[in-house]
Formats: sequence, structure tokens, C-alpha cells
Amino acid sequence: MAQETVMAPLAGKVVKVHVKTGDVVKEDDEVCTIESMKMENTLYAPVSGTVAEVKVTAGQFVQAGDVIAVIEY
Amino acid sequence: MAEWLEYPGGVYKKKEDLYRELEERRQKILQMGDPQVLERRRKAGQLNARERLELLFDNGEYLEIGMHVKHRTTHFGMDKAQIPAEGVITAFGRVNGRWVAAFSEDFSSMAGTFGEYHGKKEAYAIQFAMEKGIPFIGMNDSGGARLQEGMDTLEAYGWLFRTQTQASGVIPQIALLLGPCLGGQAYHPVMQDFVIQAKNVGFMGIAGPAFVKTQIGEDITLEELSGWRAHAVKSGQTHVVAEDEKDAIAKAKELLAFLPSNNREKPPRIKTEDPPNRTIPELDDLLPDEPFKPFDMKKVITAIADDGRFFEILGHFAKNLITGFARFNGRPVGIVANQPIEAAGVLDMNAADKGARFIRFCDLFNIPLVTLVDCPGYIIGSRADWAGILRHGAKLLYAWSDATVPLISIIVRKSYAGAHYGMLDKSIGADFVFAWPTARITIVGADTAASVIFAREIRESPNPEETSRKRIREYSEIYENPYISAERGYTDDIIMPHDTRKYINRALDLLENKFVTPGTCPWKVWRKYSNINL
Repeated sequence: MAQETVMAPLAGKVVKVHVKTGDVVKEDDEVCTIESMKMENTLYAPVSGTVAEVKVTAGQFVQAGDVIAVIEY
Repeated sequence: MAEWLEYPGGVYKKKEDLYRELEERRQKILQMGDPQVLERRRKAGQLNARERLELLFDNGEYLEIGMHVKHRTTHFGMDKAQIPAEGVITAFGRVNGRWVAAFSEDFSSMAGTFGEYHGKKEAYAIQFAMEKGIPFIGMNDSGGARLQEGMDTLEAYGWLFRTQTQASGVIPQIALLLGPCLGGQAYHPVMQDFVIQAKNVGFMGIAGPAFVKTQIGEDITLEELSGWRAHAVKSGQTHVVAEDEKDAIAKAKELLAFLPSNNREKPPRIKTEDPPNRTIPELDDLLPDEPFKPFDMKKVITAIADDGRFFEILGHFAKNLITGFARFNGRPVGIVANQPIEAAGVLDMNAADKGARFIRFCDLFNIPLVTLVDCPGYIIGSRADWAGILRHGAKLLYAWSDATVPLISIIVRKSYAGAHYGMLDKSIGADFVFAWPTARITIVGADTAASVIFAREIRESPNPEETSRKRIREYSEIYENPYISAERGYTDDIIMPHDTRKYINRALDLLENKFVTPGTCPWKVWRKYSNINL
């Protein structure tokens, strides 16, 4: 099984995590919302698959490039 | 072969025999290489090298040159090798009525390998296209370097790279990845203006999986290492992804329609039924009231462009900046726009690289540029600084400062700090700057500004939060609007969103004859070129 990761494009604060481990997601489904550069940034699933891991929780600060979630497909 | 006849001074053949000999040679070459390869590919639903050219050119007609070209290697049994057309067909034909030069590598002819004369044919096609002022299209499908030829093959790569570089900025060059293109040969497509990669069959990379495995021990599939995702999404080297070969050729034609044949021409203007002054009421409702809520900038692009059509360039890479071609009142225009729904529309390293090369392409080929701005600034932080955001971000400043084509900026929302220039403003060279009433044009957001200017006051206040809120509000009311910029004349007018298309078309009409002497700075001092941060 191949894996794709959802990464934080910018440093910021996690406002909401829309998925949990085991969820089946479609490409472009919402995965996580981060507040950064005074904007709400929603991160989407890069591929359709199953959420193998969620690495963040709401309220947490993340750096650019941090892995938010791993999706297996 | 026909019989030689004797005469006292030597031998000869009859005319009809000579004509037949030509026909025999020609047929052999036209049948291309290994029938098994041709059959295998046909069964897999792939087109052969000649079918691709027929699909590209109007009525499937093309003028071929160099079909009889042959390598001169004798080592390793190469003296017996039959390689029809040297594994690459060079042809000229019309695309949508305009002449185009192309080559199509033939994988059935010794795997389309790149030897000395294969390379010479390719370089000659580009040289010819440059001299005659017609675009060039390369269809790549090759097993790589023909190692039997050693140094001769190596040298031919150099001719190709130098020729295409000399033609860069003179004629548009488009690469189609319709098969493998691996090894140093992959510099050929990458050094062209646009790369179109067909899914499942087109592969590009500095080395293929086998070489990577033996040299550095990395285990990776061809698709993952060199497929469309590798370059359209990760490396930013594939500008357009095509579903298959036919789609790749169709997209190349669509792209060509936006481009002039060479740098002495303007891009072709077409007739349109879309009224130039069309108002767009839905744009007045598009932006959320809250400045921290994102919106999809592509909706603005398709709303204002002729017939809602937009040909995106690098759509899968650095999505925080949108680049691509649209038409306004029939005129091709390059669009550079922030995308607030991707990474807040921030300008990062990849976005700057993507934008700068697109701007320079448009400038080289006389294509006006329009920006749509909603940008919080260049990205900050140790990661960005150490990755060279200043060096990368500088490319945008260079590109705008050097540009001589009509330049129009539409400030939709945020235009802060360095991104104010990075997305084109008056001081960096814009001819027109129009702002929506929702625009916030200033040096920095109010909370940052207040935290610096009133740091001490806030710190010493009995109620720091209240003081901070008051000062932020004060700064915001004074500066976070389009009017200060308009009062100074940096913004030419504040326009309603629904009038955006009308204003862009008026500006383009007015700038039709804009001319800046190329190759000179405003002081008319000769120089080779500006030293852009690469």
C-alpha cells in the first residue's frame, strides 16, 4: 500500500481536525484546518484512501512541513 | 535493387529504376522500426511516432526532412543496424493554420535512442524553427543515450542544449512527454518553455529506477520516481498533465493558440462573442466579509475571462499562486493570481519560482499580464529564511521590474509588505492598478503594526489587551483600505468587483501600443541582461 502525507503548508495553529484514524476519505476531502498568516487554511486529502494516522490535535502549533495525517491508498 | 548498366565511362541505372529505388527506401523508412514493438504498442493503445505527428498537424499533413539521415558508427555491430529515420522524425506542418516545427522520437527504431545523428536532427529542427520564426514542439519517447556511439552521442546532447537555449525567447518551445525521457536527455524537455506529460506513458528524470537502485540503493518504481505526480506535483517541472497521448497533443495545440509564433509578433487575437464590458454581479458577493476567511480566486478568473476559459500552467504545483492563460476581448493574457484557499495565498519559494518564470515567458512573447492580488506577504520563519525565500522571492521582483509588456494589477483584498511588489504594483512597473473596495493595501496587518508601534504603551497599560485592541482598530481604520494608496496615486482607481472585466479590457485597449526598447535599462545603457537571483 502506498502512502501520502498531509503536510502543514505553513506554520500555524490547528483549529480543527476533520478526520480520525480509520476514516475513509476521498481526494479533496477536508482533513484539517490551520490558522496561519491571519487566514484559515483548510488542508485536503491528496488521494482517496484510508486515514492511517492523525498526528495533531486542535489547539496545537505546527511548523511548515509537519505531518498532519497519513493516508494509505 | 535495380541492375547496373554499363557504358564506356562507367555504370548507370535506368530512371524508372532510380525512381523505384527511392520508393523502396522511402517505404522502408515510413514503416518505421521493429514490427514487434509497433504491434505491442498498438495493442496497448499507444500511437506510433508518425501517428502522433499526423494528429498534431492540420489534416495530418506534414513536410518531413532528414528521413534518410543515418548514423556512422561501426562498433558493436552498428554498421549492420537499420535505424529508420535515425529514430526521430523531423517535420513541419500547420497547427490551427500556423506553421510549427516538430520532432517525434520513434521508440520502434532502436528504442528511439539518442545517437549523434539523432541529436543532430533534433538540434537542426530547433535551429530551423528559430531562424524561420515558428514554434517548436518536441515529442519525447526515447530509451536514452545510444551508448554504442560513445563520445559522439555525448557531444550531440551539447548541440541540442545550446541550440534550444539560443532559441529560448525567440520561439515558443513545448515538450511533450509521451514515453520515457531519462538521464541527462531530460534536460531537453525541462529547458523548454512548457512540459506536457501524458499519464501512464510519459516519464522524465535525471536517472531511471535501475540506475538509482545500483548507484544509491534506492528502491522505487518508474511511476513514482518519474511519473506525472513526480513532476506536476512534487518537482514543478511538468506544467500540464494530460490523460493520454491524444490529450497531450490536444493540450499542446490549445496552448499554442495563446502564443505568437515568435518574439517579433503579438499573440494571436481571436474573435469573441463575450462582451468586453460585461458586468459580473456575482463578483460583488464572492468575498467573505471576514478577512480571515478564504475564497477561491479561480472563481474570479473564470468570471472575468472571455467565456470563462482559463488554461492553467503548473496547476498542481505551488497552488498558492495561480498562473495561466486566458483571453480578454480575444487577446491572450497571462494571469498571475494569489490563491487564498491554498496556504493563505502566501508567496513561498516555489510560488516565487513558478510566478517569475511565467512572467518572464509572457514578457518574452509580448503577452500582457494581469495580477489578481490577495496576499498576506512572503512566507517568514527560519525554515523559509534558510531555504532562501529572499533569493527566491527576488525573482518576482526582477521579473516585474524587467517586464516590458502591458502590466495590470487588480488588488482584490490583502496587498501587504513585500508581496505588494511581488504581486505587481506601480512602483515595480504596473501600468494600471485597480483595487476593489475590499482591498487592504498597506505595509503590514494592523495587529502586527500596532504591536510594534505601541509596544511600550501596551506593555505599560493597566489593561494591555484593551489598549492593544484599541490601537489595532485605530491602525486598521487608517491604513487597511484602498484609499490611502489611491490618495497617493499608487492605485489608479477603486472599482466595484462587477466592473473588473470592463476595466481590464479598457486598460488592454489603451496599452495596445505600449513599447519599451528591449535590452536597455531606462538610462539606455547597454547591458547583456539583469542578474536575476537564480
